[in-house]
Amino acid sequence: MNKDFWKGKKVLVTGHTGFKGSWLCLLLSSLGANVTGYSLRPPTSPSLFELCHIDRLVSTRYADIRDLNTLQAAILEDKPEIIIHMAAQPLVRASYLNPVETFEINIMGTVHLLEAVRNAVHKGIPIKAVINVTTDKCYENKEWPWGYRENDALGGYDPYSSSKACSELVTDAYRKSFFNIENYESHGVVVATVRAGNVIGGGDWAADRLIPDCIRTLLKGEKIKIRNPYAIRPWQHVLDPLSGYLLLAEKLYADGKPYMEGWNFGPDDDGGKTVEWVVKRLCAKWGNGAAYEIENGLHLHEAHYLKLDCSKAKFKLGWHPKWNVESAIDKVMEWSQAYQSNADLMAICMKQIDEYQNLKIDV
Amino acid sequence: MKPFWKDRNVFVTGCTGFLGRYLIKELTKSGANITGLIRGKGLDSSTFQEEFCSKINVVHGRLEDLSVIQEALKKNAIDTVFHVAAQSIVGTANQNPLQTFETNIRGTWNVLEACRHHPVKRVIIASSEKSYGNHSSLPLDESFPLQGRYPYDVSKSCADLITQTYFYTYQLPVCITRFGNVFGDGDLNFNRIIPQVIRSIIHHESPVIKSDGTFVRDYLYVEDAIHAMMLLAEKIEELGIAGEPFNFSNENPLSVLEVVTKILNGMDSDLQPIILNLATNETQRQYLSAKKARDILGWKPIFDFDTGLKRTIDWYKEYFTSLG
Repeated sequence: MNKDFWKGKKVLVTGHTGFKGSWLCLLLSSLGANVTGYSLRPPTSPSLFELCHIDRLVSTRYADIRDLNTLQAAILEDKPEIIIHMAAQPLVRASYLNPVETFEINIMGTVHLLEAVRNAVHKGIPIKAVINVTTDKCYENKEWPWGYRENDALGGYDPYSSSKACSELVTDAYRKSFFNIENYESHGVVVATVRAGNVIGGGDWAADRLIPDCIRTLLKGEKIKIRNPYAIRPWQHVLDPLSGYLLLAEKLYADGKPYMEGWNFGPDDDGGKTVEWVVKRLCAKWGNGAAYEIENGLHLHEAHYLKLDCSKAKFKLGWHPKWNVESAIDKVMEWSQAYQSNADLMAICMKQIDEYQNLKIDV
Repeated sequence: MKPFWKDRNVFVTGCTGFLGRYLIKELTKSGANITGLIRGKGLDSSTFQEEFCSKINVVHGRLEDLSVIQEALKKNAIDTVFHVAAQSIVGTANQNPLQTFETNIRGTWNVLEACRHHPVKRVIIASSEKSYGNHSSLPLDESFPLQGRYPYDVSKSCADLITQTYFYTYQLPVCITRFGNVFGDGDLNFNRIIPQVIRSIIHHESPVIKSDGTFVRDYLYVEDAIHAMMLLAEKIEELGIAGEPFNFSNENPLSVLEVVTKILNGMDSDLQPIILNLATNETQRQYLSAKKARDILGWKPIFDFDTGLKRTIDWYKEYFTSLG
């Protein structure tokens, strides 16, 4: 990430009160960007957003992505050069219970954002780059062991996955019809989508996620109970995909044409570890006699999980994951111990961001 | 009269549209009790509207309003739903994508959501060949990815994907029809190529082709399309095919220029088409394989293109004569 590029850049982040959005705000602020945010209030309590007082860093508008008029007004007023769209209903389980709300937020929310951008551009707001953040679950699950590529079929069995596949398709429709590169001179906008999986990092209080559940248990001084010890999941620190999004934004801004498409940002292949492996490491790092037990029941070895093939981002953007699963877990534990001892959490986040940015990796 | 439909409570969206009106005509003949959703004032021709509305229970409301649909299903004890309403004009979608997405995507999830909370036995969602988007390998079969690239296609790809989700997640007994261009008696949408060309010729004007005339498409006569939808509804339970999409096509793709030439010949006209050669947001070649429908449903079209076209031309001649 290029600090000279980001210094003073006007960036609008939607959904910036969420876990990932909060980390993005911190990362952008560390780079000197001028960030505004459009989001509902933080989805959890406590939240990284409140603990780090991100509303002091980022001029914040608490509003709903389903409210087109307010969104339109915000974009006209903020005049962003770069927009990163993260506002979403992000939970698969919630989507089963309330599919309509998930579709409204994830599909029509994307339509609203792109419609507002289109109108703002007509009114002379020089928006240069829009990044729509979707998910690795936007791919039609073929139950195969290989990583998904950006040109694989989209689709999904559950409402969440399907809503994100639709968000991708809607983005493509706007890109082809209203932000077509052939008319670039007239609109000046390039649009891309980014697809990453579940990420981990300090300050996540989401429900039904392994690491947040474990941290909550450890903070209470209780024993962790795990149900699917052999389940293999990919583990990735939140800063890895976020740095990819920003790298992409730099490219889109400077010379959008080769980059206005979908991009995968997933962990390297060795990022897949069993739940038990991860929990064992969490306990070792936590110390203090932290322990876990495996709940009774039938524990099946899972054959494979959904993987992303990230060759394109590596080859064309020069992006590479920097923190492997061990480092990622260590960072989460460092953050959680700071939280337990009432340390300055903003300072911990900024320290981790510095470490991340200064880390040189051999490719 | 098909005994299957006798006294069955059927809900039809888009019942004042081209497909909807034809569907209601066929369902009425088969003895079904029909409830139809009519947007706004509905039809422009008031005498036609009176006659039409006398045959069905009319529900006034918009597809975007979930409660209207829920209420209609409940009040009329609906057991079969045909969702054929859509904003179906490609040009309008390019002009107003927001409204097209509202109607075609939200409208579809509203129908599905209402059906999820009501004990319906079968739901048919009319999708389109357009939901496939652009593919270099043809003909399109049901396993092809749905990858629309322009607003209208994308609205159809999304509605289709969401429909499949309602089967996988909630086991909703739903099937999807994917038609090519449907033509025939009663299509009052003169943006479409066949009605437009027939009208021009009736008015002694040269038919205008916006593209270069080489676009290749499927054309299916409306009566075949309607029978396909009804057959699919009849078979969902028996064949255990819930959740599946079916293409319906007469598998005889034609270029726009071929279609226009056939109409000119069919109307004994010596007018020459005007080819504007304008760039449009449309896929160059697109047509369907109906193998799955043939193999699984035993479906085949009754009308070949020329027979369907003859009936269509006769209908428009009468229609324009009646307008004076």
